[in-house]
Amino acid sequence: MTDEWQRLDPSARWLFHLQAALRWMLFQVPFSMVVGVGVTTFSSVVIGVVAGSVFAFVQLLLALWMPSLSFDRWRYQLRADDILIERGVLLRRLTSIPYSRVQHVDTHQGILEQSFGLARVHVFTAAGVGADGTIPGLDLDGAKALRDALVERGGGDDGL
Amino acid sequence: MSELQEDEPTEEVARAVEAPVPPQDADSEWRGLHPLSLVANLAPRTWRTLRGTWPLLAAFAIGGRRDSIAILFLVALFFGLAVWSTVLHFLTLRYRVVQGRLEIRSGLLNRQMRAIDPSRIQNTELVRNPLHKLLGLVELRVETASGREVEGLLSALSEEEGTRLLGLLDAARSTRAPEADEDEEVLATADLSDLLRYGATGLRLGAGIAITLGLGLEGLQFLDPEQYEKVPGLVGRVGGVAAIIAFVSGLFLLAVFGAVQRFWGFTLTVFEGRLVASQGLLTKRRVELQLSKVQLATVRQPWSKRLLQFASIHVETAAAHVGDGGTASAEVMIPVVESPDIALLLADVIPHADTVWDAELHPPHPRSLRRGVLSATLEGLVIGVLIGIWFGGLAWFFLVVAPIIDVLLAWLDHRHQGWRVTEHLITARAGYLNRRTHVVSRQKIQSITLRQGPILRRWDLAKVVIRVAGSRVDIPLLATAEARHLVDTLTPQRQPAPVSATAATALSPR
Repeated sequence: MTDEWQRLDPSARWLFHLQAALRWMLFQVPFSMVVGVGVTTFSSVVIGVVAGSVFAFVQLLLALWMPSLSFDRWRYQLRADDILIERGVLLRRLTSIPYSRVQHVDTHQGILEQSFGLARVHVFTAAGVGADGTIPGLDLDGAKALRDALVERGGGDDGL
Repeated sequence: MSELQEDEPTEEVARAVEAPVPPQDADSEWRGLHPLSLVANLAPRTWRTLRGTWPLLAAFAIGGRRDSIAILFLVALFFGLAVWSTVLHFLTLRYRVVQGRLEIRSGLLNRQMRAIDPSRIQNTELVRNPLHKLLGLVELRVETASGREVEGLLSALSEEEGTRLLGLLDAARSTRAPEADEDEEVLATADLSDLLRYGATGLRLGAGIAITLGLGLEGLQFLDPEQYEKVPGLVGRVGGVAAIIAFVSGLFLLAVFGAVQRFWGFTLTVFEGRLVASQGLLTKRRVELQLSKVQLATVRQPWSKRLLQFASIHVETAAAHVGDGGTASAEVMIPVVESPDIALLLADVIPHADTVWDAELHPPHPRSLRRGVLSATLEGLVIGVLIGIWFGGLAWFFLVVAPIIDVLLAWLDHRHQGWRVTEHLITARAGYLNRRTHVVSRQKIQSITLRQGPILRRWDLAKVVIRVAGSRVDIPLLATAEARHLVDTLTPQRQPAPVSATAATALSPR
């Protein structure tokens, strides 16, 4: 844990691709079919099929392209007083969370993450109802080390 | 605050709940709600039941005899459940104060034990609605920063018990010893003329006019065309003007009544480091919060209030919660503050706030006007198209007028945006028609986020969002380098230093 930008585990790239492929198959293909049926009601069946197919194809291109970009953009840095998290492809975000404001830190492993031996870290402050910072695609030991580091550096005035 | 919640009671929990009382602590005896809480709680629950079962009741009114029996059975079942939960709540809810800590236990099968540490209390509130007043009861609400609900709710106590409990909690959470000669200082009050001004300038008045006119026009569509044409003749020109005046007056009175009901007898005082607000006509409220817990102060100055030279100030702690009508994040709202007094009152709520109120703010980046104009043009076009489709004919003229008006407002908004970071505070101002100025202490920052979409990246601009517990402050658009410098500079642990709008050079390593 140094004062330098840290990147995600390299295997996280494939995890992101797999997650995107599953999203495409389970949600975007059925949604494209709904779009096709919707267009058919206003025009012909052929136009509906073409519209649904084009929609699904565009979604497929995005599912193939975005995960790598997302992987490249996601990084974090432990500094003297705060953790910086940068992520996002179209909408880029850089978040600074002071250590003293950290209320608790979660490590999370879904089924896919377990199969890759990866975990994600959620950092919670008192600012909102959800996690203020999320770092996915860390190897399990790295995620635990990051969680422990954040908890150790925390404490003190939490600004409440 | 800590919680213990379990599906089935265990002996350990039962023993812990029934633990013997330390003899030296006279307040550690478990107490229950006032017996009249059965009435005070059953009334709102009955109302909620009726509200929830209105489709059944409607079906009962128009249905056949056989259906009616089944419907009555269902409604009776729901009402019985409401009665059961009210009785159960009364029988199982117990509370006590042990060494300043409020402990509340409740439930029969699903037992819950909640302990609220005094240092975690954000604010306390005593509420007396008309039913409470009739029964001589009060409701005590204790809020922490840990969620979106009232964490400690004692719905019906005698007035003496409510006051006693509030005193115990206040004494326990007070961070400093009271000075011997310290008096209660009145910071603000609101008389009837103030409330008239506040009600008259409420933004809901404008929205009400727009909605009601829209509904009225829609209603006219259902009239027979021949009758529709007769309406102007029947009412006459004078009658039409009188109807409009009566209509606007009605909305005005409604807004004023709302303000009077909410803020009647408003008094804001400060005493022993606590901010105390008392207000209300039918439902009386007394809100107490520690000044050290204040997260954010927002000065609200819509154009109508600026015209009458006053503002409203919202003071928020971390205890934002969801109320019946939506999120109620403002624990104390000062309805009327004369413009010359704003700085002084802000300083009473957030130390040093008077210095930023009087100081000149840094403008947003000049290129941010492009973003404003782009959004306004798109918004205006959408509005213009909608009006054109709805009314047709000459209304398509709005396709030109709406974008022009929107762009003009965007330009005015851009001119009045501003921000400033000082040694202790952050200030951000936005809006022309509905101007808001946020003041937040740097020590309250929870996180800082820089945001950039594709268009902002192309124009080398970025948005900085500062989050505090329960709320957020958006800084007007800045150059990317300047925004990154803010992210690096505002971290609370660092030695606070003033940040100028032009001194942004340092970048974090990439």
